[in-house]
Amino acid sequence: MSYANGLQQRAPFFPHVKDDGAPVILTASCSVQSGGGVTPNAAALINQTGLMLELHEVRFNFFAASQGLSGAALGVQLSLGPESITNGFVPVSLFNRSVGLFQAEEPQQYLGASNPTETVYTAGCDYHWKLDTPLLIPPGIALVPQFQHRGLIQPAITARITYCCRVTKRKIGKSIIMPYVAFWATPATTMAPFWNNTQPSTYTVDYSSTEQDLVNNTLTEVNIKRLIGRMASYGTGGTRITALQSNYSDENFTFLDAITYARLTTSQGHYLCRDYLLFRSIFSRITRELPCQITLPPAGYIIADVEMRNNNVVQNGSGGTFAPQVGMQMISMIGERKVTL
Amino acid sequence: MSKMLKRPNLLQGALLKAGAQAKSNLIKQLPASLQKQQVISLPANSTAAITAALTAAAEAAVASAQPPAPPSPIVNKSLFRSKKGDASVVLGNAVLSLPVGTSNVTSTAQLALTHLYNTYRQSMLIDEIRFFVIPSQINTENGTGSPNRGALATASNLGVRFQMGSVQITREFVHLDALGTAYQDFLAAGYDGLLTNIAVTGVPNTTSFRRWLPPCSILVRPGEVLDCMITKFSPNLTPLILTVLGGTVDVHVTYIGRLIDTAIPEYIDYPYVADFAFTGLPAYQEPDWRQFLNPYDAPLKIQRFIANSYASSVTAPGIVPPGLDGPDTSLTFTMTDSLGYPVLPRYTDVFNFVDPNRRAWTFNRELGPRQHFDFVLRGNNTAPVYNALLAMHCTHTERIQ
Repeated sequence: MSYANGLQQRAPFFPHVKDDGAPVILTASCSVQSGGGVTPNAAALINQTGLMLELHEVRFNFFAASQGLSGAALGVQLSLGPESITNGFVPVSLFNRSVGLFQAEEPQQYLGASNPTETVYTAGCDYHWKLDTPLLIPPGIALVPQFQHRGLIQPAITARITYCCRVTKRKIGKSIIMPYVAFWATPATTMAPFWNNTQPSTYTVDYSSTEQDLVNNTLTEVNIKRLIGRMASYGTGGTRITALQSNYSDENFTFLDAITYARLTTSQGHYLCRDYLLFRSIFSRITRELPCQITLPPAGYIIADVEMRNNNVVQNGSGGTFAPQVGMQMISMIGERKVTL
Repeated sequence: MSKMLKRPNLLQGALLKAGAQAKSNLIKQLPASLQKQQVISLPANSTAAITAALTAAAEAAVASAQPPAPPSPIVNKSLFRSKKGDASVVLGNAVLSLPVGTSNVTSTAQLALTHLYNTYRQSMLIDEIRFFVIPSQINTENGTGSPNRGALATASNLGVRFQMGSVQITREFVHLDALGTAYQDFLAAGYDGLLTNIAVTGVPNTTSFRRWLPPCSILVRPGEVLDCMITKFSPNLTPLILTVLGGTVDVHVTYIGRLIDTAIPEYIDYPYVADFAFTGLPAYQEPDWRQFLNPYDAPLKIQRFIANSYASSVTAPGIVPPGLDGPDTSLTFTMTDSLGYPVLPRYTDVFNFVDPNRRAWTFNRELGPRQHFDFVLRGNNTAPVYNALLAMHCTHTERIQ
């Protein structure tokens, strides 16, 4: 038993249990034009082992030919047979908390070979989603992804999805646990009014999610495990910082960090976050995560309010070469639900 | 004895137990044939002996009796195991415009409690506390040369005091850096190293983030509040060479918790944190013995020690990363407990005292009531000079009033 535990600590993705079978990795890729959606070769993702598969982790890798990018640029929708895993398209960076080495910055990304010390992400991005509970995939069935180029950059994106699975001979009960992810993003906001001296200090920009965004769009209860909050900013210029911005990065950028507030309420009237608090504080600046325990009934939802405030911005008039052009906030909720077979 | 007298039931129980023991001893002294009889007729002159034996045994039992051990308190592990009935809650507020400047100024502010009260109808457990420090005025221009950058080093000079009712969560004010291990908070984040490093890489460093996962969750019952005060320490743990724009910072404090619907036990664990900042080296320096004292009547269960070293140079302030030669040789210390046990008998440096990556040493022992730890810190009179921060994280069991 201790041996198994030791293995589990060293190899958390594939904890060894006596009855477990061999690992299986399924992968497929495709190219997505700006603003378009593509389903990769689903045949490559079918469970052809003849046995039940346990899906432990989903990995995303993608890059654009001539421009750096981050997880905000690519959305994905997942469904297993008639059951939806996601509520529409969800940016691939919003499935998991940040677990990268450089957690304060954009995690899980390659360093550009041309300038590794400055983390210019020209080579591509890696994100992975480790499921809280392995998802069972029956024989002959595929967890079908559909990618969406969210139109934040012009070049086409080459995207790859990989499933890290293991065959299992365990008996399947009358119900299984399935993950569920829903997502909401604010519109891309023009940041110029915050730095070009055209607005008073009381100037704010407010957004609220609707009942259709962070919603339990299933017929069963969803047990929410965590909320992920990320920001994306876009700018122009030749410095390192602006280079990151030009990639719609999730870099900890002080300007957005300092002016963005949020609050959260559930459809049951529970004040998850009662007052407007700093976005980067609700969603840890390091992990981008708010550990959460909320049970949403069918059609239950979370309303997120995001406010950008101008009250403490020094109006330097120029905006400088570092000022972001566009800012965007994104929130996702990740949970699990029990599906009766 | 006085405790026993205040608890008549306990005394009565001890007497009965002592009486039974005395009777048992008396029977053992009898011949074997008599021991087998259920009813023993004792000689008349044995009454006084029995009474004396009973009294002596009862007194001995009372003297040796210990207060009853508290029932198993809520422990962190079970608390973190959130259940379906739990509902997450995020509370928070900010201290605005806390004066910091670049000099050794002290300023203290109370967080407005309005937004921190548990106004829910259920008890709340705070699992994590986050701090976000930003200049009160921000500039759209970031990066090298920006006057905003001072917020980073400022965070190392800020302190916080938590109090839950009459229970001190922190011993007076403790540094924000004393609250989490480095692995979670700043070293892995790559943000809070030397400012010069950051200037080289050009990372925008005008904000600073800390978070604290307390050794055990903090219980806040309906209508209660975890009181929070923020201070700017003086003298500075590390110099501030860069003027914060406007000379003030906003400190945002966020409680990450959840509502629980389980019954609250009579006894519960609370966290306790004490720290000491060594400044003014190189020289021998030791904290007041009350600094790492267990002020409670119950033992402190120590979770870990945290230590950091700081550059005192105005040209390169900030937390010193591991691997730098300076603190390894110029800043050493010893540690003993109040009973004379040498926990750290020989002088050693900070990065051998704690794991250099995590800046923490898991330290599983108890510190008895009124006991304390002694530290002696020594500098070797060679430049550069380093300051240091030592912190102790514990839990203790308190009866809920």
